[in-house]
Amino acid sequence: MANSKLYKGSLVTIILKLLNESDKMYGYEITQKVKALTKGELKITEGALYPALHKLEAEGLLEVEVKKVDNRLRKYYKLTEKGNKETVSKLQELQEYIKTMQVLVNPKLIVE
Amino acid sequence: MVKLEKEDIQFIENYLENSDIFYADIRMEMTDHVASEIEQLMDSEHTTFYETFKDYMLSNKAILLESNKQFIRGADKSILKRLMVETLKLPTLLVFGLTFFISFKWLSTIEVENLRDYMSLFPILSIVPFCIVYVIALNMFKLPRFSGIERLAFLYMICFQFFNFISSFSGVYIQSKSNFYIVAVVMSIIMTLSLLIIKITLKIINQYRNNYKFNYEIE
Repeated sequence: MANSKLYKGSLVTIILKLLNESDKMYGYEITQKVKALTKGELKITEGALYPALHKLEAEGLLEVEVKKVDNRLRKYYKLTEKGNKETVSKLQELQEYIKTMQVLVNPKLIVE
Repeated sequence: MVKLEKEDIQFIENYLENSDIFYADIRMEMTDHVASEIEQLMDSEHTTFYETFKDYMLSNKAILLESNKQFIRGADKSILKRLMVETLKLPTLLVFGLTFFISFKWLSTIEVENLRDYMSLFPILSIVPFCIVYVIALNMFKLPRFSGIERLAFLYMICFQFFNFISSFSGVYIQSKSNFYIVAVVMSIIMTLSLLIIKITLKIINQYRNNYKFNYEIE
């Protein structure tokens, strides 16, 4: 990651958002999607991604489906009903956070 | 786009297994990740499988091994969390109440002198149902080494030590029939937790059966 400490807290939100936009995704696909969307600025390592995915699965926010693709088994993740609700709430939280940071970092830009 | 052959996938799988990534579910996901990355590198750099694999492992093996540790820690945390969630459910409290009542009634029928022997046997007896469920389920369903299932042994080890401790602790208090309520509490804790572990074991085994649908062997 570009600055892993800054992005770490948002990893779950990033994963939920990406899964919200597609039916199902597998681990490597998520890393590539993030890399492409951020033009290589943000790289999610497997050491950060998979524990986050498994945590979300254990919390019931994701469900999994294992399929045989290209001579190997692939584990797909998709949002559950609970996961969809959590995505909305996490995105709201993140937007609030960004707004607050903008106020702190660049107060002049805020129109009174 | 380059696609790896079955033999290449098997090579990756074997390499990971020989690198102590022995849980099938963890290895399966890692194999897919490594294979996808290698396919992409082979595509962009026009290299052979073995060259790409060697270079990839040189720079990423340490990360993969660290991920393996995190996978296992995650499995342990998830099992402990399940136990906590199940413990706090209302049916669990009802089971605890019922086992307390039965234990207390049973204790009133036996002699004080015999009770210490019973208490020392209790933790060992609590292993039996867990082992039956665990071994029968694994043999019947012929599941490979899945992290979530094998790490249940870690949970049971913790619980067994706890059962031993509280049994020995309660043994100190056994002097007269008036102390039997402490023993009844200990017995009901052990029985309730044992039942919960069996319930969690069955749930996890079923979860793996549903998710993997007996489709874990790479043909």
